[in-house]
Amino acid sequence: MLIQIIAIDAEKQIIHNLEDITGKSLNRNFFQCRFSLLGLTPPDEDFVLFTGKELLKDREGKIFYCEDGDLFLQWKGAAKDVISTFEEMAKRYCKERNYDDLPGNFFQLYDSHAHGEELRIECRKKLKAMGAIEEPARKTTIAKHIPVEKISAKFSPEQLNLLIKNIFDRESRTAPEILIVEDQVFSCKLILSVLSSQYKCHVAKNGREAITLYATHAPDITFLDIELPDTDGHSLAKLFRESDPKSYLVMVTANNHMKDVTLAKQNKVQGFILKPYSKQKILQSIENFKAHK
Amino acid sequence: MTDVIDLTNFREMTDGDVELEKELFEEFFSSSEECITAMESNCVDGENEIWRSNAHAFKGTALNLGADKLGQMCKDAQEGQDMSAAEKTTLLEKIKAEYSAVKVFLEGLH
Repeated sequence: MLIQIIAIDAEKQIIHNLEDITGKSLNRNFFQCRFSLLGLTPPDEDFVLFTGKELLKDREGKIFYCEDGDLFLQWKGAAKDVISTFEEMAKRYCKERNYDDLPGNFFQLYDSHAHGEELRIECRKKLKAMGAIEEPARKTTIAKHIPVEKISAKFSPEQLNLLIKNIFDRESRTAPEILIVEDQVFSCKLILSVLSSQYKCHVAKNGREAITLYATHAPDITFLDIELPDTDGHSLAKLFRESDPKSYLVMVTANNHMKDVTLAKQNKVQGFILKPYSKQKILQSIENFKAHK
Repeated sequence: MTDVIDLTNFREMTDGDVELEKELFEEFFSSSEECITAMESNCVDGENEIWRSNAHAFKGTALNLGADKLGQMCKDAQEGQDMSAAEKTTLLEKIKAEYSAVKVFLEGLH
């Protein structure tokens, strides 16, 4: 049996532990008693030692004090008998101090596998409130603008050969393949959430990747973000259109600039989505493609 | 729906997948804070590509999430890239306040 009592910076210790165990099946549990809700300081060390010895017995465990009064019990193994005995002891401790009715969220069990993330969030909130987590200092110097190397939107001869072969093979596909060219991870995941369960999707976060993936997969439909770090969607649209006359291109932008609409028409794209994305807009584009085909 | 955000559209796309929502919220926090940091470093007089491109990126993410007011503020920031440093600072403070309100709301959901 190992009981370790940590009185200082308990939350930091907990977070350190949690970052090790969150999501891992290490069969570790946390039980929290929110003495902070009652304004009670944590039980004294004798109480905790006694409680720990009675509860943990042969199990490996730790008891954490927090500066705001909360107590965390961590142990390895099955939970139920430990929790009920500890609850009883905590209730008795509170009753002795005239707290008979405990708030509904006074006790909280965290199964490391199921609830590690919740406890991590709870602990980070406490740390922030305590000022133990510092916000990044405001920078007073101007960040040097290091431009991303711009690319020329064109296929290499090898890519062109590959594309020609894949355009030929595309004719025998039974379901459309989709290329999503989007540099913002959030927006990309959102559009994938609508499409990836039904269609094979490829993702490019910049122009260079888009050109490679277009040549490699000859997608049936391409969603093209206009603003990209190394080029722009219009240049890619022009390239794909000229190299693959059967391309089906849908431009996507958060800007409502007429010049983007004009350029899209010049490149003869088949669709235009103004962000925000919606399920309806995305699926309508797919339906339009099927009708077009 | 609240004043800060309308998740109707967003939830239609995530289809009630709570884990996906949590993941996307975390991604929103992470990318937003990167944009804010970059804009803070580039509150300078006149045109600034870092300010503009980060405001644009922040705008797109906010709009896709359903935080329309935040998205509109970012659009103002993007289109006002030739503002003075003082004007940019003022606007950025408003953006940060609105972002904080969005973040508090989202953190309270799960």
